[in-house]
Amino acid sequence: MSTATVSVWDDEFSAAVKRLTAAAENDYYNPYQTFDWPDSIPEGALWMSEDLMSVHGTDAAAELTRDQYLALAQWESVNFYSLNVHGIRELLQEVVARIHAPGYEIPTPFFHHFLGEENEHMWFFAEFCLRYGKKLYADRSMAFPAKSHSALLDNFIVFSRILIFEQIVDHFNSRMAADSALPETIRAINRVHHQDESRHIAFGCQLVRALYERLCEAGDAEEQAMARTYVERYIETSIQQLYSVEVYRDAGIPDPFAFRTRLLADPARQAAHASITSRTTAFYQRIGLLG
Amino acid sequence: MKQVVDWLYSKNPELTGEIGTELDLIEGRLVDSLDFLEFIYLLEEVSGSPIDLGTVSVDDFRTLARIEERFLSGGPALQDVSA
Repeated sequence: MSTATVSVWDDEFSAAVKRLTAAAENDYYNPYQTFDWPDSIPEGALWMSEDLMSVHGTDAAAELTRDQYLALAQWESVNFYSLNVHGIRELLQEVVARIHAPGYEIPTPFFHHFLGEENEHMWFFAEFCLRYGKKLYADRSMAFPAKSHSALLDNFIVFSRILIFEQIVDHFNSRMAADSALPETIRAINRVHHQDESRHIAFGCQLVRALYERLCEAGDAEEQAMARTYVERYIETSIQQLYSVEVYRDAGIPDPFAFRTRLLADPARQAAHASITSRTTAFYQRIGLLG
Repeated sequence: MKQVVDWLYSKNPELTGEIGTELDLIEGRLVDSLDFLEFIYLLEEVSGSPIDLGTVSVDDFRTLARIEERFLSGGPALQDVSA
């Protein structure tokens, strides 16, 4: 674990931490008593907004039977929450490694709220998967030994991973929370998560902005290029995770590998990818990392 | 194995030489954690078997020889494949 120096955190970041910490205290709720958990999701219901499904806009969608289409919506929904569970586990580990560590005195007050809320999000996403899908999809990631670089770049990468993950998830949450075609149980978990994530994303934007400004001030062009390449590749990887062979198999789609390859190559999906990542792209353009 | 080697070349277009069976793919950055999902799907498709990540380690993906032994055994004997 790398440490940051106090000088990383500027006045703008400190003010954001104070504001967001106060907001977290004021908005505190008990998630374990927030949700109604009916015995089942209604038969024939859509579990995911149609425009968020990985087949949306493709010829492949029209080739599915209604049963396959509904099963795909169901398992893509379970996969989305499973990705949340695994993503939250990773970000919890990173923040736990930094809270109250030297150099993190400024963000630490919000880290407490972040850790508490993310633990609760992990609980209700897992609860949904296990109650209604009877499983979590397995984590298909593996951490490889990383190339050695500065603590500043290491922190930039860690918090960029967290921010990008949260922004993409929030794209799905805000859409599904508002989608009247979905059962209330599904809308509710997306709505509650969206409300909490607005603070986490605001915090993450400030944190990544400050780290990137310090990285630029450090003047190492190679590290700045590495930061840019990493962000571009992580966005691409995050999109690829949404196309799951295991989901296509569970939906009864023959040759799920070929189906996945076909969808990823379909030009119709490019607009969807741009929409899913638009907030992230705009943020990194705003701080000067992406052109 | 040719599909695995072809994938490595596609991901590393600057690579022109031969990929030896004992070359450290991870140390050489030919595959990294960001490529991993695509890589694991490729191995599962080629082998016809799902891979339980709870039973493998990073070292199982370190060389073509190890990948062959661990995931593709039963296929043709591994040989160095040039671009």
